[in-house]
Amino acid sequence: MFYDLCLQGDDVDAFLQRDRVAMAVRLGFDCVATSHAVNDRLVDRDRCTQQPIEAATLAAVGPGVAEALRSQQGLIRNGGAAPRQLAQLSRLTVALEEAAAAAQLLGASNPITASYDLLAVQPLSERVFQQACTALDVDVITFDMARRLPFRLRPGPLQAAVARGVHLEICYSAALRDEIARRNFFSNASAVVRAARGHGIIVSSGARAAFELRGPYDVMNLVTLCGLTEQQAKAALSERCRQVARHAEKRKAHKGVLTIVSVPAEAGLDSPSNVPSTCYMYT
Amino acid sequence: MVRFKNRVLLVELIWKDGRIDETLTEANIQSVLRESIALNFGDYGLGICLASQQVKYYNPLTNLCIVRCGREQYKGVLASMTTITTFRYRTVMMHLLHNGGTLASCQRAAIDHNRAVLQNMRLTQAQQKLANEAEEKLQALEL
Repeated sequence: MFYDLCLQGDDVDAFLQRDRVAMAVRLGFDCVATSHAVNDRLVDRDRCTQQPIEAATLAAVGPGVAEALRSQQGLIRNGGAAPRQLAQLSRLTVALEEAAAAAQLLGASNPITASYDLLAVQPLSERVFQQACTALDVDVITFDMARRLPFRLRPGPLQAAVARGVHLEICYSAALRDEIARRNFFSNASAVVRAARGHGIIVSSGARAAFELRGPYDVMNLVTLCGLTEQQAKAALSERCRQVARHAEKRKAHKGVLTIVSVPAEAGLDSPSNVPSTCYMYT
Repeated sequence: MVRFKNRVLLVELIWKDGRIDETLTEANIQSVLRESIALNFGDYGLGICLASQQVKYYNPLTNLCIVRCGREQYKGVLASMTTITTFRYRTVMMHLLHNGGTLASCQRAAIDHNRAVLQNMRLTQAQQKLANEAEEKLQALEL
């Protein structure tokens, strides 16, 4: 299982999104998350409207996609015919500068935040960074890799974040843009790896277009140049991302264990009189 | 004295426009790849790679490419391939399919991949000939 937990979701039309997800499938990813980015405040418009793309639509995109969907491991080991399940998640990325607004903005009671699967924060100041690492109830802390970081990453808070189960994100698409962005990418990525000692790091694309994605093994190799070991690099695209998804589930569940799932009325229960509109599920 | 060890990378080129360009050869890819290594790792990095780095095979129909390089430097070479975005003014992406220690294992993977891709393609007569030639060339590759 390979995950790509950040595709830039703003200013993207349906065709571009379809192409991008199809390309991710073709390259061997099994789970993608599309990210909606906001600055400092949430308005009602920011509620999640993303719809997962159906497999049939994806398979029609081009050569390689249908085969990749059909086989377990992409084209080259085309032996098994087991269908691959593509998971599509939604994600909210909040860029924050003011520490004061953060807690209520990202609280579980906020219905807009709750409409997304994953929640990420991008700290723009030292204060917010501290707060995000030690207190905020988020899944991922992300950084703008294409620019110089506005503050120094200190190991203390970062390791506190890792200990809490909050993951740090490296987005590699900056390395594929221009030279300056690439320099900053290597600088920032190695700073993150160094400060966190390689623990608790996930790698995702942050791609705006289909051709800003890369295959999982290419990405692993790229981040080993930033100081991750090969095992850590592999975990950063698979294990760690699964933990992020689990963390998000737990964050959204009541007291971390109980989820409420609404069941459609015609779900197969016999007597319509006592059909429950919701049921409870232990996660 | 330990023998010199290589890595052989099997890479698929994915073109944005999906056009087949039969004029593209190993030498073109070699030059683009070297430019990218020089851009990312400078003259020193390129110099270290030069001794063993070579594009062994390219098939313009299935967009398959085999690159050999020294084992110490393969990470740099692969990263340079990853950061290539354009090639002759066309957007491209290089996708690693197999990373082997010998040419033979790559050859096997390449033959499988070629078959899988060619099955789904409709070729003209000239292209069929080209495909056969490419297949023969692949079979005849030697380190």
